[in-house]
Amino acid sequence: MLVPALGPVLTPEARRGLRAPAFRWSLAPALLAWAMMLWLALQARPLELCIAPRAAALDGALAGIAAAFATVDPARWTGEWAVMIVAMMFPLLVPSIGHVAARSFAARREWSVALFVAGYALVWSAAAAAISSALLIARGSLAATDLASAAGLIGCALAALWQLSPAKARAINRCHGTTPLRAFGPAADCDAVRFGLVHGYRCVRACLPTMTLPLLGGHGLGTMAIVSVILLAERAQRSPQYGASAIALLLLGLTTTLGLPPQ
Amino acid sequence: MAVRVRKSVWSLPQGDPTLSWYRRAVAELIGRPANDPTSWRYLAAIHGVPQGMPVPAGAQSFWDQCQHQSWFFLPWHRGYIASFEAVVAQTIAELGGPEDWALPYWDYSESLASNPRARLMPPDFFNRTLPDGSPNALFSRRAAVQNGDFSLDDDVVTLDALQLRDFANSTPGAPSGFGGPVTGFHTFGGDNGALENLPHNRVHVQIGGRSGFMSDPATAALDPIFWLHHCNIDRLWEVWRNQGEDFLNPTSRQWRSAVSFPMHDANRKPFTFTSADMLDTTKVLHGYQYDRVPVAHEPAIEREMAVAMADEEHPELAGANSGPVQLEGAVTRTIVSVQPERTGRPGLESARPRPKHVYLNLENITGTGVPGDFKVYIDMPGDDKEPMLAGVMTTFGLAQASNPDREHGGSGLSQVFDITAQAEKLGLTRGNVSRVQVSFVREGVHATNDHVPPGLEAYVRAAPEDSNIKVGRVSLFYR
Repeated sequence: MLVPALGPVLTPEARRGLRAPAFRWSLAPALLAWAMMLWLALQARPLELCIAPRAAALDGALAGIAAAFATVDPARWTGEWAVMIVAMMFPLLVPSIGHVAARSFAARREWSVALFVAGYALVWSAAAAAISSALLIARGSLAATDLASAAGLIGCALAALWQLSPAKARAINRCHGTTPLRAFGPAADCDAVRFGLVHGYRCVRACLPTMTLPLLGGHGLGTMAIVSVILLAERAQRSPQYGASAIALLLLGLTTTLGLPPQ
Repeated sequence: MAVRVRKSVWSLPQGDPTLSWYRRAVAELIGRPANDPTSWRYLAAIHGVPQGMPVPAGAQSFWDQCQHQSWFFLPWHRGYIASFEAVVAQTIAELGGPEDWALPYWDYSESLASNPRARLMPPDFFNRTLPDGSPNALFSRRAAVQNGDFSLDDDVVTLDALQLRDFANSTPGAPSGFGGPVTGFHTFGGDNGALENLPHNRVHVQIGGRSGFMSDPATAALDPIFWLHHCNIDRLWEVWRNQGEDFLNPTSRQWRSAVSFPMHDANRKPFTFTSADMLDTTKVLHGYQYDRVPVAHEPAIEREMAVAMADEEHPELAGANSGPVQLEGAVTRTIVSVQPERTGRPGLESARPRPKHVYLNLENITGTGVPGDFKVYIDMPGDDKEPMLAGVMTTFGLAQASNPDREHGGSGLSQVFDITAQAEKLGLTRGNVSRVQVSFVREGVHATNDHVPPGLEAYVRAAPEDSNIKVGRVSLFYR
């Protein structure tokens, strides 16, 4: 009974926050995912997702792509994607889960939130499957060229360009949208899933380039943490500092390319 | 210089030059270029940017920042009209007018017994031309009405908001208090505070009509009457605060100092202010006071005002209608079904405690154009009793709140009414009722006059062909 034991420390609002569905369904899983990745890093077992193939004497781009795919264990790759999405994207779900929870009957609140999260995760799963292939193709192609060592910088530069585009700002605004939720029975189920799908789509559109392009050259926990802070900040701010985040991404690309921390 | 004294516009004696100097200053400011922070267009664009007005270099952080559906509504507008007053007063002084000019307010809620003309717009604003035939800079694109009568009825100018003791609220499903919901920097979307809803929102739409400046937040501040309207809303905040020690502004850092707003002073020098800077009107820029507000009780600012009811149980959803409702025609009805109570073991009474409060929620209100406001009634479906008024759903800012590319992703407006008294009469609180009928009765919107203010032609919009409005869900919350 951790929460009652912390009674004198926690304010009533903080206690309420810990009991809220948003904590159970977004922050707690995200904290677990970060803890898991940190533990793996401390065990010197980096995520496979993070390792870009090294430049090699490959016979053309096709050979590079084949080599990139050959290094991947699909089950591990899928698991790592799931952990990364939970760690980086679930903290962004707090307001939307709050909307679903507040607008649902108490008796079906957890179910509605679960359906919302399922819809959201489904969209991200589809996006991850698609982007995985693209990522491996890009990594493989680059590995067979002189640009292999600059892959991280290229990825971060592309992400920085996305940050500066008007489409990014519009996409972030849409992430703040909510939809009405019918309250009873199958209609309520349907609306919870639909909101999850819609929110997932908006989220993928706004965040996927920022999240995945820096992975092009391989990365570490530090990179993921910095990108997570960028993603959180642009949701929380009224006027997100897209210029500042673009500069941060470029610096990140430079450090990745030069092999400096954060890795 | 002593603080300026803001007076009721209807109390100004015959021959008083306050409005004639205001008129001269407005004409002067309209003539200044839009990139000048003391120009009419720049000052108006701080509230909202009209279509067709390009944002000058350096103005991005100053324009389009009005706070609505937020607990910053009152402090932000206080800083805004004080900045405006400083610019106008300096302009008047430069034109040879008085040094102590102060913005008057329009107290449309004043008792008709003491002032039968209180709800009429003063003639200085509604005559197109001056006696010498020259254009009247105080006339604007507004509802086409006669003699300044914009139909400001009892339910438009009501001051029921002053009875609320909570300034703000952050609890979903519950009303947002006197001043508005707890938010960060927040332009449009969500629930109005009580004062913002009435009389503020309705007065805007009554004066603007279908396509006048006042009906649209993006153009509202182009109308010279906007400033007298908001001066009155600002005064009502003082009236509320001075009613007694139970009427407290928030003392949380989140409200007082966490969010700051940029403006320019009369010398075009940028400055920022927070809510904490707006608490003592005698220290807001040049300082001002109102001629008529109750004597202040000793401020109890050391008492921490918890965000309203934070320690109480949150309201719970108790019932809802079957889905979105398009409001068409004069009356639209929808049925709200109350969730059957869980009675636990047979023979036991209901497991749901009897609610102390019942709230009617109108969620995700979206639409286009100026559909006008709606009176919302509740009754039992099929009975022949007179429906009871739940509240007035105002729609000022609807288009902005419905735009998916703006900050809140097009979630729309929402509205919460405390209907505990009505629910008691219907038997809702006793659990005797499983269905409630909610009726939306459309209030008329005036047609707009054909006036095109000189210098502001580019921002005049034709009346839209049609408008539409949809309520995403109608629900009941019990606490």
